[in-house]
Amino acid sequence: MAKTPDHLRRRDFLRDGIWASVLSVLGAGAASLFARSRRENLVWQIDPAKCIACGNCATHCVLNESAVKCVHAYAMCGYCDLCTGYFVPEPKALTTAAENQLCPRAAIERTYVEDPYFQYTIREPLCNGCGKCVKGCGAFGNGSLFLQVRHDRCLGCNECAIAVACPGRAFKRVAASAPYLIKGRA
Amino acid sequence: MSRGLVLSCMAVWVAVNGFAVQRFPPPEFDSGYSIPTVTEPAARGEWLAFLDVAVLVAALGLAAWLSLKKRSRKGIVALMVFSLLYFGFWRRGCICPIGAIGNVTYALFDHAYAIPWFVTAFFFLPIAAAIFFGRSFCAGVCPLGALQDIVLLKPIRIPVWLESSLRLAAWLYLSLAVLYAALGSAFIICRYDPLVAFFRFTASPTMWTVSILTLALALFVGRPYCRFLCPLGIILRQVSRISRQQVTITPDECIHCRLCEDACPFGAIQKPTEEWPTSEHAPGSRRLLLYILLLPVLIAGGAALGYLAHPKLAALDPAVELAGEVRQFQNEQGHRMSDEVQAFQASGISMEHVYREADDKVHQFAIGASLAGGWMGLVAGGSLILNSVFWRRHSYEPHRSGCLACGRCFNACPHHRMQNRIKAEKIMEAGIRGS
Amino acid sequence: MDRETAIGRYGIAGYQAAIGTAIVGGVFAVVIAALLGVHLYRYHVTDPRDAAALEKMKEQAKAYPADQTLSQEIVVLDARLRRDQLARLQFLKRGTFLLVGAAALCVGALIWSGGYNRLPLPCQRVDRKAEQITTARRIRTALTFSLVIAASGSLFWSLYTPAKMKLQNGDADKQAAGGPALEEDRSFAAMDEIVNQWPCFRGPQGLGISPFKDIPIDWDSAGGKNIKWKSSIPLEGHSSPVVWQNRIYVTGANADQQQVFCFDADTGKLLWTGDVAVADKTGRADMNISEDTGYAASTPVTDGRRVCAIFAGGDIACFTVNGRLLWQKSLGIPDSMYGYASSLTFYEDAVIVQWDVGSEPGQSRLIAFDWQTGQIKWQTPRPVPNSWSSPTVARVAGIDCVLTAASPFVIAYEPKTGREMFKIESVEGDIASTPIVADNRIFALEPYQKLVAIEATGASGNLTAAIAWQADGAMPDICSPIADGPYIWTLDSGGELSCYKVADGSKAFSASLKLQFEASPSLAAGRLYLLSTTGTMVIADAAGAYKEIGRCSINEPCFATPAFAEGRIYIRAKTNLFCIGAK
Repeated sequence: MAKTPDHLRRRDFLRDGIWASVLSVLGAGAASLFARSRRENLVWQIDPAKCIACGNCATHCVLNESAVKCVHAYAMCGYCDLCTGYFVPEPKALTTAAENQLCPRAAIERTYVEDPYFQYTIREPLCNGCGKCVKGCGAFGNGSLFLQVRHDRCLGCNECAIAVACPGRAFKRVAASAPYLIKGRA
Repeated sequence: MSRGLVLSCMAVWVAVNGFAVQRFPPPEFDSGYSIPTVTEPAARGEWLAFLDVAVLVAALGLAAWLSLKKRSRKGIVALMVFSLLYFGFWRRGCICPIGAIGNVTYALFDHAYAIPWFVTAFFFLPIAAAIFFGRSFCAGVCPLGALQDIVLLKPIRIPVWLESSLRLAAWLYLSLAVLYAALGSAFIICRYDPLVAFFRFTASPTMWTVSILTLALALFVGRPYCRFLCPLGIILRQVSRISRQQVTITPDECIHCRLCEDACPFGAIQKPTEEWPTSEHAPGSRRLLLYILLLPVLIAGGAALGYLAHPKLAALDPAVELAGEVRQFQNEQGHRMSDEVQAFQASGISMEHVYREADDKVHQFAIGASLAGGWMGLVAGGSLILNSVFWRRHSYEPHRSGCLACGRCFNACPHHRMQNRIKAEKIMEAGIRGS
Repeated sequence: MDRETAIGRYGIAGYQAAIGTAIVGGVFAVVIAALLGVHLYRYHVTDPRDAAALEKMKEQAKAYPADQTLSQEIVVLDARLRRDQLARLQFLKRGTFLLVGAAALCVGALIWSGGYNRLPLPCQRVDRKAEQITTARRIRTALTFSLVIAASGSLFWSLYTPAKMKLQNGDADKQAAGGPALEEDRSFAAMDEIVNQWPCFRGPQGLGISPFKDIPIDWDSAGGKNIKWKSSIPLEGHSSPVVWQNRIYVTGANADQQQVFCFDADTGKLLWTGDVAVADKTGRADMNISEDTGYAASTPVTDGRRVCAIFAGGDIACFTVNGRLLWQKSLGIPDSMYGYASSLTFYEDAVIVQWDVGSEPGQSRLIAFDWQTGQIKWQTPRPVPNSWSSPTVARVAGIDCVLTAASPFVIAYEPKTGREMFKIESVEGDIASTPIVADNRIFALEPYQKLVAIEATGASGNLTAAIAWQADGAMPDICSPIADGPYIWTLDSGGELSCYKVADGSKAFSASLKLQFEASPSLAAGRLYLLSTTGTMVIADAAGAYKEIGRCSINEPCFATPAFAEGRIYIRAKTNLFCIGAK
C-alpha cells in the first residue's frame, strides 16, 4: 500500500475538521430546537370569536369539500321556532320548504322538540362550511352555530390554505389533544 | 318578542363582538329532552407521528444502504415507490422535510411558536443522513423526488452552464422561504408546492395546471423541481459536499471506459479532468482575484436590491395586507368594504395598532430583505469563484453535491455488472451445491 | 440492452405491446383531460350556490307569496341544483383519478418499452483540455448574465410594477391639508374641560346653556348683517353642530352616503370630510326613515381630540380631529318607528350610545365605546322600547351620571361602569326630548301630557330619586325643556312657550310665538334663543314673564339646535352652516 502524500493527509485532516464542526453545529442546533419543541402535534382550528363567517372556508380548502363544517353548540342554542340560522330573512313560512332555508345545501335538520322549541342539527356530510347559517345565527340569535375544522377531514396541511385566505386571521394552531374551540366552553 | 320585529332587522349582520351571545336564554324542557353534545372527531393520533419518524429513519437508512453498499437501482426504485405511497399518497405530502424548513425557521425566530418535535425531526434527519451518506433523502425517501424520478421518460441534457444559472433560482427560493418564515408571514414552500396536488388528489384548477405542467416537464427534464427549485435540495447539496461517504459509479477502480458518461439524467457525473494548461494559469489567478474582490460589491449590490424590493415583498405579509386594506378603505371614497376590513372593525382593534404592526413588519422586511439580498450576492459571488477554481479529477465520479444517489449509473459500469454477475453466479453455485 | 425493459425481455413484440399500451393510455388521458377541462369551465360558470335562476324565482316568490306552483318549482329546482353540485364534485374526483391513472399507464408503458430511457452515447472524442476551459467560461458567462438579468428584473419589479397597496400612511392627513393639522392627542377630556366648549347636543351636560355673555342679538341674512360667514354643507341632516375651540363638526347623510364635516370656526372653510361606509346597503333600503328625522338626525360628539358620529342606519364612526378614521362599527339597522335619532354623548374615555330600538322592550341597550379604539367598554340592557331622546352626562347632587329618558322610565347610569343608579317610572309615549338637570332636579317631558320634576339625592356615590312634582299641560313632543334655576321653559312644535317655577311646578306664563319649532331652546346671557323651522330666531328675556327682545332671520329652514361659542352662534340650516357674530 502506497503511503499517502502529505498534502492529501492535510486535505483529509481539513475535511475531517470541517465535517466534525458542521456535525456539531447541526447537532447543537437540533438539540436546542428539540429542547424547545413540544411533544404534541399542532392542528389548525378556527377561533369562533374572530370568525366573521365570510365564506372563504367553503372555497379555499384544498379539499373539494372543505374540512371546515358548521358545528352546533346545543347548550347555547335558544331552540327558536324562527331560527335565523335556518331560515332566510323573511321566510314565507316556518317550514322546511327549500325556499325558506338559508343553508344552500339543506344541511340543517329541523326537528320538533316541544312547544315552541325546535332542535337544529347539522348534517355534516352535506355541510360545505359556507357559514351562511353562522352569520344568520350570530347576527340575531345566540351564536350557537359556528365553524370548526373537523379533524376527521382535515389533511393537516403545514400551511392551511384557508388560514391564508382568512380575513379575520381566525385560524390558529392548537394542540392536537384539544383540537376544538367549542363556543360556550370555558 | 314578536316575529315582525325580528324580521325587520334581520337583513343585517351585526358586526360588533359580544352582541351575538345569549339573546334568547336556552329553554328549560319539560319533555325530558336532553341536550345533545357536540361531536369532536379526534385529530390524528400521537403514535402516528412516531410511526412517521420511524418510517423516515428506516427509509433513510435503507436508501443509504441501497445506494452505498447494495448498489441496487432496483431496490432504490422500490423504495421510491414505497416513499411515494407512504409520504406522498398516504400522508398526503405533509409534513415533509422541505416544508419543515418553514417551521424550523419560524421556531428559531419566533419563540412563541413551539414547534412539534417530529417536525424538528423531519427537518434534521435528512440533513443528518446527508452528513454521513450523502443525499439518501433525495435518492429514495422524498415523495416529490420519487414522483419526478419515476416518470422520467426521455431526459434531455441540460448544459452545465444553464444548470448552474438555474440553480440560483433555488437559492433565491430558499432565501425567500427563510425570509417569509422568519418574519412569520408565510410558508411559501408549502403554499407553492407544485406536486402536492397529486398527493392530495384535490386542488384548485390553477394548482392542478401547475402540477400537471411540472410533471409533464419531469418527463423530459430529470427532476426539475429537485434541481432548480428545491430549497432543501440546496441545503442537502452543501452538506453532502463534506459527507463521510459518497456514492461511486464503479465499485472498483475507474477504467475510463466512458460508458457511464451519459448515464446520469441529472448531469451529476463529472468527467476526469486534464492538467490545466499553463497558458491559463495567469489569467485564471487574475480572474479569481477579481471575483474575490468583486464579492463585497456583489453582497452590497444584493443588499441594495433587497432593500429596494422590501415594500413589494412585505405586501404578502397578512399584517401589512390588512393595514393596506384598511388604509385603502379609509382613503378611497366608495371603496368596497372588504372582508378584512369588516373583520378588523368587528375585532375592535384600533387602526393605530394595525398601522403600527404593519409599519413594524415593513421595517423588519427592510432588514430581512437586505440581508437576504446580501446573502444572494454572496451566493452568486461564491459560485463564480468556485467556477474559477480548477479541480483535478482522475476518474468518472458523481458530483459530490449534485448526485441524487438514484443509482442509474451503476448499471452503466462494466465493473458493477461484472461483480453482480459474479455474485449471481456464486449464489447459483451455492444453490446447486445445496440442492 | 437492459433486461428490465420490454424490448430487453420480450424483444420487438414486447416493445410493440408496450408502445400500444402507451398509446391507448395516452389517448384515454387526453380525452379525460379534455372532458375535465370542459367540466371545470362549466362548473365555474354555474355555481349552484348563487344560481341566477333560483335567485330570480325566490324574488318572484316574494312578490307572489300565494303562488303554490312557483313554490313547488323552487323546491324542485333547488333540490336539483344541489344534486348536480354533489354529482359534479364526484365527477371531478373520479375524472382526476382516471386522468392520473391513464397518464401513469401511458408514461409507465413508455418507460417500460425501453426505447426512451437512455441518452445517446457519445461518439467522438473531444479535446478534453479545450472542453474544460470552454465549459468553465460558459458557466461564468451564464452566471454573470443571470445575475444581470436577475438584478434588473428585481429592480424593475421593485420600482416600476404597480404596488398592490400603499404602505405609507398620510393620504388621510393630506386630505386635512385644507387646515393646519392638529397634533393628535390620545388623552381624554375631563368633565370640567368641556364647560367652555359645545361638545355635544345642547352643549355641556346637554343643558342648552352657554356660559358666554356676548352672544349676538341682532342679525339678518338679507343684508348680511352680523353674519360672519356662511358655508354650504354637502349633505343634509337634522343633526346639530358641535364645537371645540376653532373647529365645528356637522354630519350629513342621504340614502347612499354618510359623512362627517369639519369646518374652520373662523373662516367657515370645510377642512375635511370623513366618509362613514354604509355597512348594510340592503337593510338600509327597507329602513323606516321619517321626514322628521332623516338619515343624519343624531348629533355627533367631540372631545377636542376626536369626533364620533352615529347615523340612522346604525353605523357609528370615530375620526381624529384631522379626519383620520379611528374606528367604525355597525350596530345593525335599528328598528325605530320614526328612524334612529338619539344623539351621542361622552364621559372621559367613553362614547355613550342610547340604542333604544324595537317596538317593545328587549333590544334596547346603553353602550359605551372606547373613544380611541371603539371597543365596547360596557353595555347595559334597557327595559324600554325605541325612543328618540338623547342621553346626557350631567352632574346631579355632585355625582356624575348618564341620564336617559324613554317610555316609561327616567334611568340614571354610572358613567364608568354602566351600572344602573336609579330607575323611576315617570314618562310614557314616544319620548324625543332630552332630560335636563336644574337645581339638583331632573326634568323630563311626556309628550302632550306632563312635565315631571325628579328630586335626586346623592350619598356615597349613589343616587336615589323621587318625583317632586309634575305639571300637566300641552307638553312638547320634540323640543327639550330649558331651565336656569328659578324657571323652566317648554316650547312645543306649534310655538307655545310655557314657563313653570322649578320649585313647585306652578305655571308662570304661556305665550304663543306663532311659529313652528323643532330645534330645542337655548339660553345664553340671560336670554332665551328659540329657533323656528323657518330660520327665525326669537330672542326673549329668560324671566318669569314673556318679554321679546327681537326676531332675527336667516331665511332658511332650520331643524337643528344651534351651537353657541364666545360671541357667536352657529346655526345649521337646511343647506348652509351660518356663523352669527361680529365680522
